[in-house]
Amino acid sequence: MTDDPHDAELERAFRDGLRQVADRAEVGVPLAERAHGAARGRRRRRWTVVGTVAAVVAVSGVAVAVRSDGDDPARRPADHAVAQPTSAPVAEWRAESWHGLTVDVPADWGWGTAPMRFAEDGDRGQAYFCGGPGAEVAVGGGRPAASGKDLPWVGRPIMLSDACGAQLYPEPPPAPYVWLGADVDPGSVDLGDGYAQETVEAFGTTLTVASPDPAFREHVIDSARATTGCATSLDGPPAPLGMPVEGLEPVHSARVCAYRRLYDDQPFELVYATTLDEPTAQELYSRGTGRGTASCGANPYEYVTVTFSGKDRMGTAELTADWVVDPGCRAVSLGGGAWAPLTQRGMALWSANGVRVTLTAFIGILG
Amino acid sequence: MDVEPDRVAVTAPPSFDDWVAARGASLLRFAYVVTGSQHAAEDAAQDALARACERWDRVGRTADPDSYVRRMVVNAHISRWRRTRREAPVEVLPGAGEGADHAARVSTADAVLAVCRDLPPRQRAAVVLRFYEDLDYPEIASLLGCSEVTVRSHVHRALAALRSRLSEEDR
Repeated sequence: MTDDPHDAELERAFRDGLRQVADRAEVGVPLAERAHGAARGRRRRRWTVVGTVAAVVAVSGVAVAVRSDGDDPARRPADHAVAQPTSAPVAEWRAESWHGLTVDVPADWGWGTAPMRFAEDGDRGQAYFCGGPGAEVAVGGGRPAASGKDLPWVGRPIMLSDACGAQLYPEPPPAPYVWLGADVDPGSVDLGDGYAQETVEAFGTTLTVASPDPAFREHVIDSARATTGCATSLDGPPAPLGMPVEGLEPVHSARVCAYRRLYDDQPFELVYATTLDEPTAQELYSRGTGRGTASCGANPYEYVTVTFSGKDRMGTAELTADWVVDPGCRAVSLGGGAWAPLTQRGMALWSANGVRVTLTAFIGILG
Repeated sequence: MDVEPDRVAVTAPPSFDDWVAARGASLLRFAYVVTGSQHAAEDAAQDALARACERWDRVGRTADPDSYVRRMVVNAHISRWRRTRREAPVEVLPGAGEGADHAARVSTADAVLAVCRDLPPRQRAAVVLRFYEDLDYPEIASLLGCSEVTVRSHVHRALAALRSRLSEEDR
């Protein structure tokens, strides 16, 4: 309620006006009948899609059977369409970070959202997704294939649209997941279909793992550790530290740390971190920026730091060089308010990963 | 059977059809003020109810199915708007000439509807939830999936717009 008598009058006008508007609605509509019909149509569409996928798999199976006749069975293609990545041993893991927490997840998992509550003032209402569930970005930075909703994912509590269709998360889930910082109370939940969800508090945030495989859940939870290689929180926008005059040659890796904050009076929190391999880091360092200068204002909400590690071009010492990137402006700070534009390739080199569903610069306002 | 029918009737959630029969009219009125037209209201209500129907075993057991379904109405309308990127036409208001009181009421409703028509869907939803549903700001923030600050900003802008429109009409 407002203390301003004029606003109170306006509020009353709004209330009265909306009620009068509502009374004009024609309410003699067979809603239940139509809803049943629409639901039947939705189910039919889903079955049509499933049937199409099944037909494609069946046809592929015939092709494989013909081609592999007499072949070594070990060379037959894996059946990715039905594989549940966590039911098999994980061949490779990667690190995922959120604030002060870092954990290991399977290297082939995608990225997506985690549930969050929006109510303030201590209301502990239902937690919702805003985007997803399922992977929204696959390894390599692209959208998952048609069956991407079944791709296991690492979720962060980030809204994928400013006008999201928030929804309850499904039980059982479409695929295993690991949520970092989700608004979920610690404990275990039986999600059905053999899935169990475990949530623990770790390094100042929450870690949630859902999988039918208890050993997998245990492995991920046991991997929780403090984030290293990136500051986990910044009081203000990062300042460029300057570059070695001689430059680095060769560059052998780069550490990418993405920060965001929601309000001006909050610190920037680490929301994503990854390490680029040598070829990627080398290319970004040597050819990531374009000619000329970029015109960037102060970005109050998102920054990325890229710390290159390499050899001193004029010697043998290990040196680092730091970039401060404004992802919205697509530029690297040179200090003193000057910015160098990132090339399209330069942007892609450090962002072909989960940062695309973490920073608004990639998500966009409307997703 | 060993089950006591009366006890089952008390503890079981309402069937989907029973719930729609009891709450459907209210839901349509809500959808009408959210969307601004009969056609869009029916579309949004149908989208929401089709989804609710499919998962009624869960939705019906929630403490407040009304709130859940209304949220889906808002989402359905916003999603539809995002797909088409345009507003559904707002229906023409009844004409004047039916007495001074009626004219005054129509004038207020007209101004409110005009203000709502000019708002983006989420802002309009915030206003409707605040002044039609009488929800508080944290509840609206939760329903719309945005911060309380954003909701307050939406409502503040709508009030300013109504003030401006009513001032114009007074002149």
